[in-house]
Amino acid sequence: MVFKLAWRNIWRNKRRTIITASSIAFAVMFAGFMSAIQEGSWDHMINNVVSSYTGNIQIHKKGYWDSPSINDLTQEKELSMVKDLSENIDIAVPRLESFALLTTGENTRGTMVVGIDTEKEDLFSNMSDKVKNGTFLNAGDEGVLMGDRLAELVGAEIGDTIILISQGYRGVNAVGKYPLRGTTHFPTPQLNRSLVVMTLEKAQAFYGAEELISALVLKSSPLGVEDRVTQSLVSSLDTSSLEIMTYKELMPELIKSKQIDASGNYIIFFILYMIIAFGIFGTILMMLKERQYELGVLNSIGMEKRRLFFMVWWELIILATIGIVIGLIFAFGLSYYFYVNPIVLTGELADAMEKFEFDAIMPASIEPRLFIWQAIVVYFICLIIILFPFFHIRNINPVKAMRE
Amino acid sequence: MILKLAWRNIWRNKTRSLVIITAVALGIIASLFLDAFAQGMVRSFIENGIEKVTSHIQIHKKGYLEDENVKNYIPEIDSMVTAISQIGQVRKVVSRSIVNAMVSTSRNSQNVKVIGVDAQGESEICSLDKMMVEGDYLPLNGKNKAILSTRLADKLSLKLNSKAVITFMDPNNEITAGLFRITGLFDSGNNNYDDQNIFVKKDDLFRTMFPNAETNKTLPEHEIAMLLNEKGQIPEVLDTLHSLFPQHDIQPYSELSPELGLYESQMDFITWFYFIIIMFALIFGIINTMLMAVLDRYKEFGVLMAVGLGKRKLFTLILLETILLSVVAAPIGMFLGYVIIVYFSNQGIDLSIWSEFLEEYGMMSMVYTQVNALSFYRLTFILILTAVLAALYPAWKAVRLNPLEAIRKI
Amino acid sequence: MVKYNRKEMNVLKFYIFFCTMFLFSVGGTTQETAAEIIKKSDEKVRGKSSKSELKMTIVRPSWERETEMKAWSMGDEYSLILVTAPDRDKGVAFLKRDHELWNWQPAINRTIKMPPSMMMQSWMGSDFKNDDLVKESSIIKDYDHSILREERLEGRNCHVIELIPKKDAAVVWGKIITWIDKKDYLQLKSEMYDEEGYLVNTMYGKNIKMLGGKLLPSLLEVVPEDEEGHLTRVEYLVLEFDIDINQSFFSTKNLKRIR
Repeated sequence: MVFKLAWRNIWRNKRRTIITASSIAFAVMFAGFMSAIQEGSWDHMINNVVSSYTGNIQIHKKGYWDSPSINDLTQEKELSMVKDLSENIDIAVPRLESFALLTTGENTRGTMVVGIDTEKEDLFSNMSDKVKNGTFLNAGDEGVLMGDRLAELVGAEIGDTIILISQGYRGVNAVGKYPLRGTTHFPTPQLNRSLVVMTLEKAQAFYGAEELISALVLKSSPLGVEDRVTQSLVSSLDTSSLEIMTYKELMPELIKSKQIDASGNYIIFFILYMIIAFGIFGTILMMLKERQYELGVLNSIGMEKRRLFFMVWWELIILATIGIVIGLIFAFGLSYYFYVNPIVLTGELADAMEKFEFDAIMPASIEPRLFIWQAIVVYFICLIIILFPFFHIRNINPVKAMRE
Repeated sequence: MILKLAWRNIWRNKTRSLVIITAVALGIIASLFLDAFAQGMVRSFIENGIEKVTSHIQIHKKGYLEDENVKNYIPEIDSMVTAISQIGQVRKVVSRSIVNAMVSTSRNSQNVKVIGVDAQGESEICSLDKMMVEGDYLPLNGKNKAILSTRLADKLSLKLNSKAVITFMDPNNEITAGLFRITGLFDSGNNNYDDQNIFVKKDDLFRTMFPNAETNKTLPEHEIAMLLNEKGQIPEVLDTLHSLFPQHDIQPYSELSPELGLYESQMDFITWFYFIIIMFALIFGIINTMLMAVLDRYKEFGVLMAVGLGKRKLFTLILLETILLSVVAAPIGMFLGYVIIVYFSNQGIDLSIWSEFLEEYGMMSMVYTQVNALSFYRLTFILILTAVLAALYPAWKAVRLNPLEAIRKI
Repeated sequence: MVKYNRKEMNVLKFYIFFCTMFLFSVGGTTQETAAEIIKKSDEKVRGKSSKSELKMTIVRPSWERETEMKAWSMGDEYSLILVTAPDRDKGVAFLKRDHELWNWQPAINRTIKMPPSMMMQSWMGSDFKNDDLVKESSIIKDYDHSILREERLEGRNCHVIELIPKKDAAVVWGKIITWIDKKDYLQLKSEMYDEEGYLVNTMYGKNIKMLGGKLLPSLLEVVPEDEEGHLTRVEYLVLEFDIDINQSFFSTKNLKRIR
C-alpha cells in the first residue's frame, strides 16, 4: 500500500522526479565515463607498447628470458601448431635473437641480431614502415637491415657489405657477410644504435642453429585474455622445457606504472563520489524540505512516521533505480561514442606519444563491468543517503510543518 | 537594494543556504585536493623516478652514449663540476666513473657496469642509500667495498661479505682486476637498472685501475648528473650549460628516459581530464540543488513578482544570492582544503592499502600532497565562477514563472 | 643492454687459458717449501716459446662438442691459434700481439680486429674460471702455500698443498687444494673451493706421457661439482718447447697463410 502511494507520488510531481532521478543518472554517467576513459587509455598504451615488439605472450626455452643465451633455443617445428591452440591468438612470429660483432675494417661494434619471418613479422609489428631508407627484406633475402644510427656510426650505406661474427649455438664459429638493404628507425634510441635484422633462415645459418628459434611471439586479443590463452597453451606444450610468459612478466615496468596509476585513481574516484554523493544528497534534502507541508499533513491525519518513512524510502529507491538505469545507458553511450571516435590528443602528450609511434588518441573502453561496477557504487551511495530522510521524518512536527 | 534583499534571503532559509554553501565549499575542497594529490602523484612517481635514475640533467662526452668505452671520459671534469655547482638552480651535482667490467664469483660471471661514485654525493642525488635492503651502504672507511642489487647477487650467488672479482680494461687497454667485498644489497625497483649496475667508491676504482700509484694519473670520469631545485628550471639550466660547455652532450631526463617523459605527460593529461569531469559533476550537482531550491521558492517568487519585482531583477536576485553564497563558501572551502592538504603533505597517503603490488615498494607508495598557492586562488576562482554559471539555468527557470500560477500554488 | 654469451667456450677463451695455464714441473729436490713446489710445478710450461696440437671437448648433459687446433706461442705477448676441426670452423685463426687481438675468417676472406673488450669477454663462463686466466703466476704470487700431507694418487706419491688467497688478491676462490707429484712435479688434481668451503670445481691432470721432452699430463679435465654432466676437457696431442720461432711469425699476414 505504501509502495503504491510512493509510486503515485513520483509521477505526481514530474519536475521533482526528473531532478532527483537525473542527479543520480548524472552520477552514474560521470563515474562510468571516467572509469571508461581511464581503462581505455591504459589499454591503448599497453596495446601500443606490446604490439610494437614484445607481443602479448612469448614462448621460449625455460630460463631464456632471465638469462638469454644462444644455447637456450627451441625447435621451431615443435611450436608450429601454437597459433591454432586458441582462437584469441591473432598471429605468431618466430624469432632468433642474439649478439654479434659488426665489423667494418678497423671498427667493430656490438649489435643485436634478430632473425625474422619477414611476412609474419611485418603483419605483427609493421616493421616495413620502420624502414626509412632502402627497402624491407623479402622472404629468402640475403641481405640485412640496420638501425639508422648504427649505420651512421659505422659509415655503412645501402648496398655495402656488412660483416658479422659471433659465437654460435653450442660454441660454433659464427661468421657471415651480408649486403645492407635498408636502415630502420625505431622510437627507442637503443634499437637504432644496435639492431641488425635478417631473415630467420639466414640467422639460423649464421648461428649454426638450423631449425631453432629463441622465441615464439604471440599477439592475442582482446587485451586481458592472455592468462586464459596461456592456460590453453600449457596443456598442449611441454612446460618442463618451455616457458610461457605474458606481457605482464615480460614488461613488469609497464604493469608497475599502471598499478601506480590505478591506486591513485582510488583517491580520485573517492573525490568524485563525494561530489556526486553530495549532489544527490542536496537534491534529496531540498526535496524533503519542499514537501514538509505535505508530509506534515499526512502525519497529522494518522499516517505513522514509520510508514511515512517507508513511503519516502520507496520513492527514493524507485528514483534511484530509474536514475541508475538511465545513467548506465548514457554512460555506455558516451563511452561508446568515444570508443569509436577517441579523443584526439594535442600538445605535449601527443608529441610524446608520437615519438613512440603511438596513435595520439585517448579511447574509452566499453567493458560492461566498468559501468556495472560504478552503478553498484552509486546505488550503494544512494542507499546510504536515503537513510537520512529517516532522521528528518522522525523529527517532523506536523504542526510546524503545516504552518510553513 | 537587490543586494540587501539577496543577503537577507540567504539567511532566512538556513537549510537551503547551508546546502548550497556546502556544495560549493565541497567542490572547492575537492578540486584543491585533486590538484594537490595529482601533484603529489607526479612528484612521488615521476620525480622519484627521475631522482633515482636519471637526475634532471646529465652531461657526457660527445659520443660516449654510443660507445660506452672507458676512454670516452670527460676531460677536466673537476673544473666543470665546480662551475656547475655554482649555478643557482643546481641543488646537487655529482660525477661518476663508469667502466664496463666483468664481475666474477666462484660460481658465475656477468657483464656489468661498475660505477665509481662519491658515496656521500651519490646518496644525496639519487638516494642510493635508501634503496638498500640488506647490509650497509658504501662505507666512509673500508676499502674495496661494493654494493649491487639483490637480483644481480642472486645470479652470481653472492651474499653479504662475499668476494667478487671485478675485471676491466683501463684507458690504456690494460686489463686489471680487483677484489671487492659485498657490503650491501639494494633494490631500485627497476629491473634493468638492477641487472646492470654495481657501485664502488671512486678511490677504490682508482686504486684498482692504477695499482702502482702513479701520481700523474687521475680517475677517468664519464658522467655528470645534477638535480635542480625544481623540475621547471630545466630549460634555463640547459641553456646555461650549453653555453658553458658547447662541445659536450647535455641531456634532460626526458631524453635520457623517454618513457618517463611519456608517463608524465599522460599523467598530466589524465589529471586535467579528471578535473573536467569533476567540474561537470559539480555543476550538475549544483544545478540540481539550485533547481530544487528554486522550485521550493515558487510561492516566494510569485509574490515578489506580483508585488512588482521585474523579471530582470528577479534573475539578478537569484544570481546574487548564489554569488554571495559562493563567496561565503570560498574561504571555508579554501581553509578546510588547506588544512586537509597540509595534513596529508606531512602524513602522506599510503596507496599500498589498495595494492599489494605496491606494498613491496614501501616508501615509494606514499603520496604527499603538494601545496601550491597559485593553483589555490585559480581553482577557487574557477569554482565560484562555476557555481554562478550553474545558477543561471535555475534562475532563468524561476524567471519564467507565471506569478499568478505560482501564488495559486499556495 | 646486449648480454654476451656467458657459457660457451670460445677458441679464444681457450687460447688465453692455454697461455696462462701452467701445470708442469721440471726436476725436483727434497724438503722444499710448499711455495717452492708450486713454483716448480708452475714453471714447466714457461718455455720461451712453444708449439702444440690439442683437442678441446665441451661436454654437457644433452650434447658434446669437440674442437681441434694448433697453437704457437712466444713469451706472454705473442700467440697464434689455428682451428683445424670441425669442418665448419676449420681455418679460423686468432692472433694475439700484446694487447691486440686479430681474427681470421676464411669463409669471408677477412681479417678482423677484435675490440679490446673481447679480450675480457674471453674470460667468462665455461668450466674454466676467471681466476685461472687473470695473470700468470697468479697461483704463485696471489696465494699463501702450505703442505697439508702426503697422499698417493693414480699410483704416484703426491704432496697435498693448500693454497689460501692473500688478503687483497683478486681471485674468486676461498681456497685451492692441489695434488702435486713428488717426483715429477705434475699437477694431478686441483680442487677449487669457495669462501664458505664448498667445492666448486675439480681439475684433473691425466694421461701422463712424454710431451716435448717432458713428462706431463696430456689430458686436463675440469669438472664442476654442482652441475650434472658438465665437463671441459683439453688434450695435448703434440707439444714442443723452445721452438725456432720469432716475432715475424706472429703477424696478420701469417694468419692467413697458416695451415
